[in-house]
Amino acid sequence: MKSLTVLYDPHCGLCTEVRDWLRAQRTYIPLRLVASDSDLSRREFPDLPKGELAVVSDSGEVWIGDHAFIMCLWALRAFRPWATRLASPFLRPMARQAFELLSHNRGTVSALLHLKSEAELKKRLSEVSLPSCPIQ
Amino acid sequence: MYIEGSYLAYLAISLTATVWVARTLHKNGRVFLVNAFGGDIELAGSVNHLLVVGFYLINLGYVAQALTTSQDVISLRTAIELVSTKVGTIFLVLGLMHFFNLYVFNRLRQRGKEHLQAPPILPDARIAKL
Repeated sequence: MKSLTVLYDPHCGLCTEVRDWLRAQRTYIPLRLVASDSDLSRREFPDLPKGELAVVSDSGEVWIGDHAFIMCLWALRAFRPWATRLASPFLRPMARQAFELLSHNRGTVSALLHLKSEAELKKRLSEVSLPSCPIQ
Repeated sequence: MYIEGSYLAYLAISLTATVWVARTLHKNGRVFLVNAFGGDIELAGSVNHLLVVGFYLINLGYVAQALTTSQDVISLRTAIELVSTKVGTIFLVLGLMHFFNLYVFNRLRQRGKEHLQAPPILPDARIAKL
């Protein structure tokens, strides 16, 4: 396995925040972070479920949802032991529940934490109308 | 008279036990550490030595702290009971410290091999190679 592609929801502030965090981490395997509604994603992974976190390896293995989340941790130098722990039969049900809870309420969580995705910021900025400059 | 004898017996037993456990740890921990540091014998030796120094400091510190008693030692019986209680506590502390050290050794060994680990979860699906 040489690289992992992470497909995330670009419309959720929490997801883009996590993406930026992932980008700043030291990894064992290079992570390619791709927005799930991008042309690249549609072209390379047309069959993957939309709106769900997904991780795809260069050899074609796919992990979805909480499994994808654990694979992201596994790629990080500082969190590989956590990935192994969360993947154990004892902790996996808890990891799944926590992930699903967070994933289903990601809009609310983003709003509560005031996290805005680029898409939202773009929309908000486009709504702002600046008065025209009075000096000619 | 009994109290001095008790103190001396306590010190002799506790110090001997501490030295014995530390030497065991030093001798047998080395193999673990050499493995953890990918065969780097010099680094393993250094970490091993540092761990043993910490082990000695904590144990000797505890042995010294736990020496005094306010109990009246008036007979051989009370002297033996006192030494036994004190030494028992020291052995328990040594045991805990020993297991803690084993845990540290094992963690270091696991961390040293972490980059070789396979994914902890089987894939949910497969697609054509990228």
